[in-house]
Amino acid sequence: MLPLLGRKLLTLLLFIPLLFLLGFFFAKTHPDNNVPTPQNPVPIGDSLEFPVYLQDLLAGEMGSVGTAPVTEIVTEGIKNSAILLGLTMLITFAVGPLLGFVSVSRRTRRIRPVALTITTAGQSLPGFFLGVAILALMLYGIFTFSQGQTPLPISGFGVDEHLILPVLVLATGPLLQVTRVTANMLEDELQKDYVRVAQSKGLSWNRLLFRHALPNIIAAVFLTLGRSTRWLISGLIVVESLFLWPGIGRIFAFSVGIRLDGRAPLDFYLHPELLTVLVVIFGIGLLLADTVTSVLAYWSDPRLNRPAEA
Amino acid sequence: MRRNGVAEFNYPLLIGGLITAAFILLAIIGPFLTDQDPMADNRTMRIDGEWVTAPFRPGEIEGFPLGSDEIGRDILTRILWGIRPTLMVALVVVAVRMGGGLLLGLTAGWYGGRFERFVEGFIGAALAIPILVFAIAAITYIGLERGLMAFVVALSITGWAETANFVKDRTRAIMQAPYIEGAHAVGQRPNRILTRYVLPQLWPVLPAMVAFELAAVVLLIAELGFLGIFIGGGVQFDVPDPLSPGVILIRTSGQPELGQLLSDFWAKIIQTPWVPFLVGFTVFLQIFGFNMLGEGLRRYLDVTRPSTRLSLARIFSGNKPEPVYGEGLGVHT
Repeated sequence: MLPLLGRKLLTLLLFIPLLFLLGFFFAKTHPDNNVPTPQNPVPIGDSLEFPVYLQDLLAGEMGSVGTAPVTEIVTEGIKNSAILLGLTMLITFAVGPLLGFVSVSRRTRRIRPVALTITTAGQSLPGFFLGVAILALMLYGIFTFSQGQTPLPISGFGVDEHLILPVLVLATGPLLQVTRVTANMLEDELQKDYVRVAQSKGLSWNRLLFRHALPNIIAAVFLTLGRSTRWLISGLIVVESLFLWPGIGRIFAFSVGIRLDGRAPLDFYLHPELLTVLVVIFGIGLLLADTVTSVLAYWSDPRLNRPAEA
Repeated sequence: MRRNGVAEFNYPLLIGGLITAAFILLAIIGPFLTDQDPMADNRTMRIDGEWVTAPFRPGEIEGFPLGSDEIGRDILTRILWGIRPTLMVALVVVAVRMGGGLLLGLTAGWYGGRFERFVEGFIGAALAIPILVFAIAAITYIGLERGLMAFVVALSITGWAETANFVKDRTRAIMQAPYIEGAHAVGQRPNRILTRYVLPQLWPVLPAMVAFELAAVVLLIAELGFLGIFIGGGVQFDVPDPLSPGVILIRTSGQPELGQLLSDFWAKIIQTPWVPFLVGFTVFLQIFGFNMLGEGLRRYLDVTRPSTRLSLARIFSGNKPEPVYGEGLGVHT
């Protein structure tokens, strides 16, 4: 366990400067940052010097976008996104394995065809398509019930019913991924001889699942959860842009010039300090998620310990 | 195949295979199925002496079964034309990703030791960057006007990592098996060990991996398109400004491609809501086909079976292979 944790944290420490450099030089050398404009005769890219930037950063000076300091924008964004991500991951982890258990048939000890089709279909559903369908339904709701407002809020921020639609769209993919992996692993596990022995001993189905099969597959579930974070971050960009959630994904979308309503992306566009910080944050988030889930996997499955420490 | 007394029909392979085959067929012959020009606009048409103006709703007028977009281009035609370029981009990206991942993973797993650590570091770095974030950044950096090249580079640079990771773990696991030690002991050459013991266990996993990767890449292309990043630039057309005399220039997708057809979402959901819906459904169907095919292939290609001969009985039976792509316990530390 400890060697694993140490190695993961070392990786984290190694990658942060790397991501930092990547973000900075991306912004510095981006073609759009190196075109002189009437307002700025010296392009931003040329005016950026890495040592100066580093000095500012070490002095705690992160620059600002317009009048708002970068630190503030990013902290706010992280906070808002963390609410969305936290809830999504919680639901994924709580509901995913349960659905996985349900999707294995008790009689055949295999995945139910319906369950497999549904999980595969759900995983194939692009997040934005689901989002668009829901938005269309909500808009249709306005016209049908003529209440003047949608049944559920379709945009904006709020720790209330505003969360429902974004979390729904964000969670569908990872949730069904966890379901599918749980079901697949369970199917494999239930074909093994010890299950037959356990059944012939007269063990109940629930005891068989939770006492015998679950401990063998839980590590894989943790690891899948870790892998789905990569997916979640992609989803975050789409979902936050679609539902106008003021989180870090939308800030990133702005900073690379993406706005779904087609307007100009404002001062955020290719802002060097902002971009660097965002890249580092995404990297830290992914690596932390990987670390936590790997540690959980190792903790839950003693079999994994041996090759790692050998 | 009967196992534990319960027969299982491999329907994911059938469904996935059928959908994928249909899409490949459409990619090849799609443009010939329609006599309309995907680029030609029909802003106003005279039907039975009456003038109608675009956009046309699905089924509203003859000749536009799925309706038209805001300047009167037939959606069915555009979807039929759009499948081919999307599929081609996906194929190229997957080929580059799989090639790179396979090569790197195989060599890392084969040599082990310090080289493996080195490659692991690489994989870790690639996995630490969210794929959509990297793709957007890279494509805007390279420039959309470079077309296909920008997409292949952006989607491949970090995309190989998962394949490499999986192949590396598999190879490592095989290399640590007792029979490899045995093969060394009886004096087998490395060449022979590779071709006789390692590769035969890796090949069967590949088709399922390709199918899953294709699904992932098509999804990514669609997401990029939705966010306004698509292959080739758009075209501009002018519409009369309702508020003032004169015209407004609007940029929209030119040569059809599925990702492109999904772009410019806010304008479409109000003016032509059926366009994002129909195209989104097409994309969904395509991804679903690939995923089902991958699932079916995974079930079908059982590496532990001695015979890999194709037979109908085997296609429709559910065998469970040992390696589970992206789902095994191959933790890399």
